[in-house]
Amino acid sequence: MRAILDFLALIDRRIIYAVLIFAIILPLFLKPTLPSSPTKEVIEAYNAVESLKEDDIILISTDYGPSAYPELQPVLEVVLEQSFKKNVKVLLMTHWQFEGLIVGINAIEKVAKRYNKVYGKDYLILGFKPGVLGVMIGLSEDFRKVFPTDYYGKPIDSYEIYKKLIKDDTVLNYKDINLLFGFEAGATGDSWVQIVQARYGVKMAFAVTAVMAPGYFPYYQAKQIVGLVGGLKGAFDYESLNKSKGLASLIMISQVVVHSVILVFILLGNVGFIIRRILG
Amino acid sequence: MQTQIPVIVTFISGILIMALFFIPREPFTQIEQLTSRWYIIISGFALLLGIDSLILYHWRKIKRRDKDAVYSLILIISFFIALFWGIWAWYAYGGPFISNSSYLWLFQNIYLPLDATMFSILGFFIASASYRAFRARNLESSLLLISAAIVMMGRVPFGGSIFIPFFFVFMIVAGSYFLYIATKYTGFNAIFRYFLAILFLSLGIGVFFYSELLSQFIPSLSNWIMQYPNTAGQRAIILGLTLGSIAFSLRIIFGIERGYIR
Repeated sequence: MRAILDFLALIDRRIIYAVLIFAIILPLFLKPTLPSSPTKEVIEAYNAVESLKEDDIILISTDYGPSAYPELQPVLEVVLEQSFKKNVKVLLMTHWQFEGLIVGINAIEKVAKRYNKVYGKDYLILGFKPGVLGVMIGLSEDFRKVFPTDYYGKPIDSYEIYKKLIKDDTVLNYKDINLLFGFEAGATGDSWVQIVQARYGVKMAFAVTAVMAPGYFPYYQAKQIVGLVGGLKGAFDYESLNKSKGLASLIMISQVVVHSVILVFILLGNVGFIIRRILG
Repeated sequence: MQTQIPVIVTFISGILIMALFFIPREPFTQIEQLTSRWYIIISGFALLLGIDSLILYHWRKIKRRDKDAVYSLILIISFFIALFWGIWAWYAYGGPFISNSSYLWLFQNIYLPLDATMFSILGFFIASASYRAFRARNLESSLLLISAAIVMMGRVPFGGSIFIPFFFVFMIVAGSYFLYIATKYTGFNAIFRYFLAILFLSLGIGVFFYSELLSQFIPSLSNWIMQYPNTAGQRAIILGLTLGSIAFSLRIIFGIERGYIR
C-alpha cells in the first residue's frame, strides 16, 4: 500500500513525458468534430474584422515565431480570409523578430493565392523593422519613414495599393488604418496598446498565446482593445466562427486529451499525497 | 567628473524623453524619432557586448575541456556559420532575408524547426511541473489547484464533462482528509477543519448529483475566473510594476541610483 502511494505521489517525470507523447500524437489520427463555444472577446475580435468594408485597411503585425505557430497561425489565416473576401487591403509587418515576417508571409501568400489577390494591388508586405518605440512613432507620421521600401526592396509608394491607401491625404499613417490586428507572443502587444492605442486611438484587436492571454484581459476590459483571441482554444473558436476547419480544429483534440491527462496526473499526485499524510 | 558626466547625460535624456512623450507636436516628434534611432544604435552596441561575452564564455569552456565543451564548440561553429553566411548573403542577394536568398533557406529549414522544437519541449516540463506543484497542502494551494483545474478544462471542448469525475474524486479525498485531521485539533482549529471537510464533501456530493448542469457551467466559470479575479490580479501587477518602474526611473534620472556607472 505504502509503495503504491509513494509511486502516486512521486511519479517519475519520464513516465509523464512518455504518456504525454502518446496523448499528443494518437488523437491527431482521430480527427473528430468538436463543439465550439466562442467567448465574448473572441466573437468581438471576429466581428471587428467582419465590420470592415471594401477598400478599408487592416494592418497586421505578426510578432511571433514558430514557437507560437500552432496557436496564432490559424487565427492569422482566418483574419486574412475574412479580409480578402471583403476586398479589404492588407498591410503586413513585424517589428518583434524577423521570424514573424516568415510566418506572416507563409500565411498571406497561401490565402492570397486562394482568393486570387495580387501583391501590390490587394496587399503589401512592409517587412521587418526593429526598435519597437521608434517604429510605432514613425508610423504615426508616415509609413514611408519607417518602411521606405517593402520586403522585396521596392519603394512602397510605387505600388498601386499605396495610392489607394493614402485616400485624400498625401501620406499613409495611423489615420488611414481601420483596424490593427496584432499577433503577439512577446511584449510588443503591450507597446501597441500603451503607445499607439493610447496616443493615436487606433482600433485594435489581438491574438495572443495562452500564457499571455491573462495579461491582455485588463486592456480588453478597459475597452482599449476591441477583441482578444487567446491560445489554441481562442484559435479553435475563431475558426469555428468562420465555419472553417484549419490547424486549430485539427490539433484541438490533442489539447483535450493532454489537459485530461495532466488532470489525471495532478489527481493521482494529490490522492497519493493526501492519503500519505493521513497515514503519517 | 567621471561620475558626473554620465549623471548629467542621464538627467537630460530622461527629462527630454519624458517631455517628448507628452508633447506630440513638431519639432518634438522629430526629436522623438531621432532619440528612438539613437536607442536602436545603442542597443546594437549592447548586442555586440552580448556576443563578446557569449563567445568568450564558451571559448573558455572549450579551452578548459569542460564536460559539456562539445556543446560550446557546436555553438561557436554555428554562430560563425550563421554570421558569415549572412554577410555573404548581403553581397550575393542584396540582403540575408531577401526572398530568394540562401540564408533564408538556412533560417526556414534549420532555425525555425529548432525554435519550434525548443518551445514544444516546454509543454512537457510544464506538465511535469504542474503534477509536482499543484498539491492540496493547505487551503490556499487547494484553491489554486481547483481554479487551475477549472481554467484548464474550461479551455477545451467537453472540458466540463471531463472535469466532473476528477472534481468528485478530489473533493471526496480532500473532504475525508480534513475530517481525519480535524480529530487531531481542538477548539477553533477543529471547527475550521470540520467546516472545510463538510464543504469539500458537500461539493463532491453536489457535483455527483448535478453533474450535467455543472458540466455546462465549467466553461462559464473558467471564463469568469479569467475575466474577473485574473484581471484584477493582472491589473494589480501592472500597476505595481509601473509604479516601481516610475520610482526607479526617477531615482536614476535624479542621480540617486548610480549603480549603472560602476
